Amino acid sequence: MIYDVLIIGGGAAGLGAALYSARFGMKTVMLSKDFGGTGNVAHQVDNWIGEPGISGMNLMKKFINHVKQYKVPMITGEVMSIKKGKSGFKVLTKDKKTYESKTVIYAVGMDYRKLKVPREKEFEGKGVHYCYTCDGPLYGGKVVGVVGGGDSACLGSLMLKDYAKKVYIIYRKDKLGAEPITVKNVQKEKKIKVIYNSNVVEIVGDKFVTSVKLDTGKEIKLDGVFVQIGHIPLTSIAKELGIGLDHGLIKVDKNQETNVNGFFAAGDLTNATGLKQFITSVAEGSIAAQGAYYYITKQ
Amino acid sequence: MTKVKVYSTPTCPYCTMAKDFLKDLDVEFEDIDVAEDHEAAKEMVEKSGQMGVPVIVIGDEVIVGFNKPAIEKALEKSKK
Repeated sequence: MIYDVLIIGGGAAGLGAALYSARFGMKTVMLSKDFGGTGNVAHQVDNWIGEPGISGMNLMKKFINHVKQYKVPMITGEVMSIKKGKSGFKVLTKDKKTYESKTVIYAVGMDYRKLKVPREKEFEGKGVHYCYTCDGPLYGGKVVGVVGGGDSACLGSLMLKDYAKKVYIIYRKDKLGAEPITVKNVQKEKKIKVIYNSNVVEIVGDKFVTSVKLDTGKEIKLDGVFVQIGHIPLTSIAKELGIGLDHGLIKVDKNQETNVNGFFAAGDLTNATGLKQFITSVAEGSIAAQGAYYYITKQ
Repeated sequence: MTKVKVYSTPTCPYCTMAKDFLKDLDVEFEDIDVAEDHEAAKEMVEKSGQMGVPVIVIGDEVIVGFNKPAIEKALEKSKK
């Protein structure tokens, strides 16, 4: 079978694209490692209009159920390669299945940016964590650190303070970079202490983490450290196809189309907007679906 | 029937995915909330040597994270 639209990625952008593709009457399929994407990890979402305070996981469940109403197949699989032929794209997965489609909407999002300091890898899961909604609750009554000062770091700290007895935010700059309302909430919390102008240079521990060393010479004793220093766009497979990038992000036009005709991209990994949120991801997905529709109907 | 245990936290999306996956396969499992049950949290750390969730125990196999192929393999092995 040749699909009209093959969506790679099951997060907010991919699901937004799937909803619109299905409603445009296009033969649509989704292919993803998991469904819900990084949106799943958000502890509390206060900026999705109409659903204040919803958890990322519940919001994504709503997205998934909404798309399921349109009977879009959601296939679990990992893409290994994408090739462009005369009639469209051939996508090969890790379990050696091939899918053919006239267009592709690439929306695989981002992966956690790592600290890249000594012993980080050794202590992954042993005091070094990236998903605070997953592992944060295990630090009841303990001392934790959050590295970073953006939205994820500040929102993570606000969740972690419900469990831990003390939360340090370790940030390289002299001012937190999260949404002002979130920064205010952090500053109100007595359990949270922000250490400014500091970078973690080494993780210290035996079997588990016991402290982190900072570039200021200080050593902070703690039981766990949550790394929230941003994300890296997952562009490697798209790059093999010759997709153009802009500062590491996939370059798209106003229809979310890349330099390869019929290949669209949406969500956190594009250069469409600097605002990386649920609402912008869904919007980019829906615009990409419309772009794919124009592409197919004009062919 | 091999005993299946899932050590999880209520806010962890990958734990929910793992539990949904087991439910889809009609596999019965014991769901242990390690945010509430500190003894169970210790047990999980001892078994897996780490503090990340989910941890899925199928017979003698200890699987860290939501790893579908590893779960399928362990379930297959447990049937033999």
